[in-house]
Amino acid sequence: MTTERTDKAFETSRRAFLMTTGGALAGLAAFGLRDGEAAATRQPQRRGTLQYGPYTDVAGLDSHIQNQNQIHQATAAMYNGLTDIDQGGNIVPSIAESWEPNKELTAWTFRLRKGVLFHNGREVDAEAIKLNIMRIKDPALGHEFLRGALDTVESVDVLDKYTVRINASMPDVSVPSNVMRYPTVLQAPDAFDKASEHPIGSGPFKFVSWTRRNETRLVRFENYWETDAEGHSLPYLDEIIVKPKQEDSVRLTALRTGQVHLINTMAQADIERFKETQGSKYNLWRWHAGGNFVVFNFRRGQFQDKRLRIAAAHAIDRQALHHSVYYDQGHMSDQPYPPGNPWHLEGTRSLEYDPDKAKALLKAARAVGTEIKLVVNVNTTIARETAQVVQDLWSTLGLKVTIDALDTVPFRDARNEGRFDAMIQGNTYRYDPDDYFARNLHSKSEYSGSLSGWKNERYDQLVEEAKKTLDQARRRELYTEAWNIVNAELPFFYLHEITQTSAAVKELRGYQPGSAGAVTYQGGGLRTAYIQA
Amino acid sequence: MFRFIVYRLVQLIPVLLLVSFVVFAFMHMLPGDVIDALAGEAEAHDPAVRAALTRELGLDKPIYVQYVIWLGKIVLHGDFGKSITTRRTIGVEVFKRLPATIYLAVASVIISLIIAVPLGTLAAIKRRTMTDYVVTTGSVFGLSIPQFWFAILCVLLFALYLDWLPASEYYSPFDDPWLGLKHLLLPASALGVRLAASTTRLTRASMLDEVRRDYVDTARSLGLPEWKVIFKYTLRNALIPTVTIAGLQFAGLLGGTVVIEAIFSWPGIGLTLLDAINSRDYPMIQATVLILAVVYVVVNLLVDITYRLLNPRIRLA
Repeated sequence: MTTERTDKAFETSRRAFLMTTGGALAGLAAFGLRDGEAAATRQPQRRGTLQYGPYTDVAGLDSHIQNQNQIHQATAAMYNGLTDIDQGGNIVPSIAESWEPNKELTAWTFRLRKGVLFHNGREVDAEAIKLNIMRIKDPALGHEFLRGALDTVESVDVLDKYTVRINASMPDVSVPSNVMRYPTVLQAPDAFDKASEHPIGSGPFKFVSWTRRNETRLVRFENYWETDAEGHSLPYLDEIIVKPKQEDSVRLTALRTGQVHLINTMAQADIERFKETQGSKYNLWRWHAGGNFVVFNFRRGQFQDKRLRIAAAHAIDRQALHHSVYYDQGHMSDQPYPPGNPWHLEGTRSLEYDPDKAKALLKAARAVGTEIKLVVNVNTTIARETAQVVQDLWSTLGLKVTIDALDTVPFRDARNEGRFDAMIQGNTYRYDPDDYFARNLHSKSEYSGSLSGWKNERYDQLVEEAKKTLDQARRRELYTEAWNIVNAELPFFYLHEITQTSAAVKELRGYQPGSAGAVTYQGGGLRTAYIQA
Repeated sequence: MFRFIVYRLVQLIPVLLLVSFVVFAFMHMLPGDVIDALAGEAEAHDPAVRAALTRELGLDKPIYVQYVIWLGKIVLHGDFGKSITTRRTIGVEVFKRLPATIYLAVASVIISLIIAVPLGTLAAIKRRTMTDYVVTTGSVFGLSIPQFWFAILCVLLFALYLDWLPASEYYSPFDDPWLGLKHLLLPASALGVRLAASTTRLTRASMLDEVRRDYVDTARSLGLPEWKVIFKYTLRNALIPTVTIAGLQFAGLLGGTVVIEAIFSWPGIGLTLLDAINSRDYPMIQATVLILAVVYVVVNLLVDITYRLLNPRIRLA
């Protein structure tokens, strides 16, 4: 059995940045990136058809409308972006060979690789980049996650056929990570109108067919530009057949009976038992997927009183959650980035479990017996179970807690309209911390307004300053101070890391999930996977 | 019979109009706004974004206008519109998935009848014996077990431990009959066994009614062999309620197999409807429910025709 943790995030120090912009040739050699002229040959021994059983299926094929989630959906492997990630989650060149910002970080110029083709033979050029970004930003069309990532992008200029400049409305250090293929997927512009039926990307695999909730077929793109370290063209696999399986036990059974080679997640409760009884027959990887936290409503309700928030935070036993909800998988956490991650913040202060203190505070506030509405999305098992434990802990404290478990759309309505006292919310991994700290808590963020509604001037200043610097150490300092404000004021109370475990048969070689579970990334994942004959 | 069929088909029109109106109205009364779902957190409050999406989806018109436009497209062009979620043609999507559901429903009902009719008959013949008690208890047990639990149990037993059948997935019988059948057996059995529980009890009760009738005594007194009395005369009459229930079960399965579809990754109408409801995909919901209503009414008609075939003395209103 191989169990590895793949949660290293990217580093954008100034040194790394300069290496990226000035070391394109070095990058080409290191990652085996074809210059577009010499045709690479296929690796003769590494082939096969992968049967992949993810937890969920795409909701639609147009990747600008429906998010092709790279931790679940193999269709993410149909696409490239201007940048990519490596196995550690570092931002690396992709369609863009290099990039550089202006001094203010308000304009980013990307130089494109020549000769990269979409699956229909059209070349990926600056005009295509512009059209893609504009389409994603269209509020009538673009998926909210993709649009949100390009929030600060104001305009795109085509400087020449292979040079494009992205102009931001404010200094934004996170632009390179936001034009990564997840979220900024690149489609062939001449196929936009057919993207819902037959999407055209430029990634290592191209589309064949899709029947929702049943089967997706992808085949190898024979003109893909990326090569392995020996100079052989990628990908190795001939075909990927995706068979989504929503039910945990069915997915695991499919792996064990040989119906599929690879599953991307398994139920938390099954992991340890599977490792003990079956672990030697399979490769397993655990990876960081995000986290859960409590949101306290500052807009209305009981938790506008800080004493109640502090009491509620002191009443939460993360250990209890760790055992009963997360089955000892992942870390109990008071911040979004786990230990070992480059964005993990040292020197943060957060409230510890102290039920006596919590009761005393509640009594002092004369709030014993206060009714609390705790809202959660019923479709997310971990969030639902977390809510049940939190309800129990707060009830022991002396609050009268009712859980409102809502379907996705009513949940979003309740959140947007502030019809809750507290809410269990989750976050997925963000390659740039600005996507978490700014989007979730900056007072000018629309999303933040639909969560706690908290506003703090000093927090805003810190996050804005972090957006303007490439110095990672400096950014970490700023986020540490900002997060300490969060832990003191408690718009959020972070609870626990979410990890997932992927498993594959031993015959699947060359595969390892990337950072935050990405099934495809530069030099790895599905691109280098093959079936041992 | 021909007049009856034509009359029933003509009756479809007001029924379907009513169904279309009801489903259209109820959809718009559901909590949660499709614009919020599509616009996302950042732009949900932006009036320009909301206006653009509302226009694009045709939701800026009065609701009765939306209804007339929608109905007109279906009636005149057979156009159910495009899914808000997938942006694909609804008609194509639904009719691609309908065969999988019908296939599963038919198989489930057949399995149910194969189990229920013999068992129900046996229990009635051997009334108040151990056989009767075992069958009755078994049917109560079958009714009591949760469907999802039983389905997962089937997967673990037959797929994992015995390795007799595949755990999930759908293959069309027209593409590969053997593969299609192999993949059908588990989900159809999981559904069929549970259906059989209620059908067994009904068949037993119906048989008990019939065996007490005078014609049965007459048949016996005329010296007919017992098997002929039971299977040629009594069972045929006793099957009428069973046919009713089987028809209703089949019709119910068309939209009611969401749990089984989710567990076995069966790409049927149930999951399509569930996905559409979760994402407030109004056009998809309306179209799917309307199509299911048509199928339901047609199935009822077929059930009535089957009555007549079973017992020509039954006069169809």
